[in-house]
Amino acid sequence: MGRTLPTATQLIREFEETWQPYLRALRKEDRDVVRQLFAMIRAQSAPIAYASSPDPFQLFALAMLGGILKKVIRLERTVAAECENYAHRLDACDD
Amino acid sequence: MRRLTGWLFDVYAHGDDVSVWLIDDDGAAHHLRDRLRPSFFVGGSAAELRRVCEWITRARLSARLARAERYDVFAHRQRVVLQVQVQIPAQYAAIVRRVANTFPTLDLYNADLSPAQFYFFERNLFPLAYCQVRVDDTRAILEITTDDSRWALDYQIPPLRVMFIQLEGGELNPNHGHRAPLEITCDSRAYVIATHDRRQVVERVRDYLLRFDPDVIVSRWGDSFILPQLLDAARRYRLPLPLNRDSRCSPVMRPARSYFSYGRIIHKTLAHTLLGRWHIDLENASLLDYGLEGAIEVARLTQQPTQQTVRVSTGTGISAMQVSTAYRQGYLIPFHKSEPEEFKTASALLTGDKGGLTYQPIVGLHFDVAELDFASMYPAIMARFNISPETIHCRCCPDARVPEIGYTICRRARGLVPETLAPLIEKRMAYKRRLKQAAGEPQKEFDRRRAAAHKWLLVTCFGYLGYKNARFGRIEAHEAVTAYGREVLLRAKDIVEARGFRVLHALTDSLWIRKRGTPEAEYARLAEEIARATGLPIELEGIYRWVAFLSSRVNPHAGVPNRYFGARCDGELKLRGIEARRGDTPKFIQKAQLELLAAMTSARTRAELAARLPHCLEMVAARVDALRAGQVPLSDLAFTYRLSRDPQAYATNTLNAIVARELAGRGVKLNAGESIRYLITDYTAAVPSDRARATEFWDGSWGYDVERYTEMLLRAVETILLPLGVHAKMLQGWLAQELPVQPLRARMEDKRAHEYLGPLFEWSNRSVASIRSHIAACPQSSRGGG
Repeated sequence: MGRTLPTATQLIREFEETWQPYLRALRKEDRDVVRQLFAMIRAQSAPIAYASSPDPFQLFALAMLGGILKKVIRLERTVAAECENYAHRLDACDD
Repeated sequence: MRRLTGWLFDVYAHGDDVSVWLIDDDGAAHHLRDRLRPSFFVGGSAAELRRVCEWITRARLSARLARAERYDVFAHRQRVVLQVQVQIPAQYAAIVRRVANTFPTLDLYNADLSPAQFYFFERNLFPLAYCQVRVDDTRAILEITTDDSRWALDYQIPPLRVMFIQLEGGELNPNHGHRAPLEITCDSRAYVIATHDRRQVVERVRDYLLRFDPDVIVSRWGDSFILPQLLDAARRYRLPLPLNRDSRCSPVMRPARSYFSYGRIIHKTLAHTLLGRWHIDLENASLLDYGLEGAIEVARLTQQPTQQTVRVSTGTGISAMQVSTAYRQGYLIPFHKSEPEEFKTASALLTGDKGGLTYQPIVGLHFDVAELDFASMYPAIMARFNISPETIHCRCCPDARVPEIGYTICRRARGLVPETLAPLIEKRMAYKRRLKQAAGEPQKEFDRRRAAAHKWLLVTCFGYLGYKNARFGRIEAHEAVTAYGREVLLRAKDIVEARGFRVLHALTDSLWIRKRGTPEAEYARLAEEIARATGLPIELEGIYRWVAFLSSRVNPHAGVPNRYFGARCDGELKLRGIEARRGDTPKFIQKAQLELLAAMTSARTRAELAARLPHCLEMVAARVDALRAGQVPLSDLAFTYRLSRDPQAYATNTLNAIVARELAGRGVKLNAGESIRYLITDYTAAVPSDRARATEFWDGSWGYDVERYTEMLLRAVETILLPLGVHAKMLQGWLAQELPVQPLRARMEDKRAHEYLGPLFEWSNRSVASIRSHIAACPQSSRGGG
């Protein structure tokens, strides 16, 4: 009934545990950044499980990159909206 | 000769026959007897079978021998076997044991069924079937038939006389030292036997049994304490004690045992079952959330006697149903099967051994969310795609392949597992359909309980399919089910995303989706489309006003699949993984969480939720006040913990270990898997034994640890309020400003208190609009898709 191979969640947890000494030595603010990276991997645990790669680190790296890119895209959209807003206000001032 | 009609109440082997108890329409019990000759089969080479024949003949066992041919499910062929027909049903188990011990290398089949199961299978009956019986003058059954069906949605239950028996203060465990007078309730009247004289206790119990002649004795701690004590006293004073209706035999005792199941240790106490009468110990019964009505439904479906049904897991129930199907179809039923996993390449193992898909939810509070659920997904897959141990790796159907893993599945012959499950799934769906229609409240509750019983049977059938030692388990069949499950969930995800929905969460067989302004009719259309595309029924489980997916306590950036709560538009709450759902949480904390949630249920927007915060905090303050004033009942503060090992095996001083050692020191014999209950007396005490006390030995000289309980309460409150940005530190700061002597309202209006709560709580001098603007400024992670 039990599984033969570790689940994706177990693999992610093991991966996080191997980095514990590194995390411990980091400054608090840096540690939080790394935790966010780990959370980005966890957020994709289902696709990682489904892909079932013999080298899960490739998938972990992709998940972290994807998470960072999502943040960049969100920031880009916010900046673009702010710029547009600012431009409207400038136009209004000109009028 | 005469005719009787009534419900089949009890069946067991006695002497040369089986005893059959019938309860008629007037509630009268009839003791009848019937003939039964159960058979088991031995498989082996011709020479081996000949040796078995010779040995049985020499040993003068009461059995008839014959050559037979039966279908072997795992070998996919008919097999020549030796049929051993036991002439005295009561000797069946002993004869099987002797043959198994003498010929340990031979295969035995149909060798561990109970006489009651044989009787039900042979006569096509089941517990509580409404039967028509012809009996002769000696009460021997000439004919027994029924028009009743296991699959009937509506059926009558006999008018059972119930006697309730417990020690006063019933929740406390007498095996852990609790002592109180015996309390017997019958016909809505309670009788207390307030004497220390054990002889008198036995005499009074005997009097009540004779006076009320109950069909069912429901007890608390009856299996492990009350019945053994009564029987011991009756033996000592040589007093008759008619616990059984059948006075020829003693109650059947089964020893206590501990075993592992799904990664945890379970302890089953000593069991006492009665003959001609039922004994149900609420502390030793697997009634889960379906109660006695559900247990009766399980007994009818699984064709196991009710007293056994309530004492075994639902997994045993589904296994019994498969045995019934196999018996009906003439298949050989393996005795001790061990079907090892076949060899695979590493790549095939990586692809196949994946289980269901578990997404991480998008953490935060979300509004207008719909939950779509595949109804009994895994059993439905087994039934729809014909997945069974004997249909996997089919040679005659090379084109019917499981997605991803490519195993072939037979399309020609219906598998044993689908054959068993299909009517069960259909019955559950029928009850669920009825539940959705407006029906009277009592009927609705019956249907709910029966549907809940089906749910547990269906849940366990998947685990049993993958268990190599289960009679009809095979790991490749288990892998095929999860492969179909993944495929189906991904197809559903593709469809909802193509329709513009955002998938907030997906968990094996359910999806939480959101698209602003979606009418309910669109969800129904969506469900239909998914059902068409996948071939499996999917339902709109509910539309939520709001749902909160919680983050991990270890990493607050990461979500947890099974920790969420939400309020449906129909007002019903759904909770998973939070304190209120956990069995080990004190009731006081559970009630606090439920109270908060009830106050938040009707809110439809973030601003409406925020507007309820002051009221929520008033409730928290009232709970803390009650804690400090010592007004919380002790039973509400008790923790329940299941021991994972023997008390002396604990190395550290956890509260559980301390209490287990305390109980062991007082002479209580504890086993791994048993539950203990305790109160925290002084969590930070230097002497470990002062930190907690077993509830059974809490004598009032100890107080409870107000600080520790307050801390735990605030942690539970944080679980509920964190999605609104309120964390435990805020709550602690707010409480630190509390002055217990001041009236509650004054404290709430004290501005100094608000300083510790942040801007969100300055409701007294801010408008809802300003709260809304604060929430709008909250970080994205805490707002989710709202």
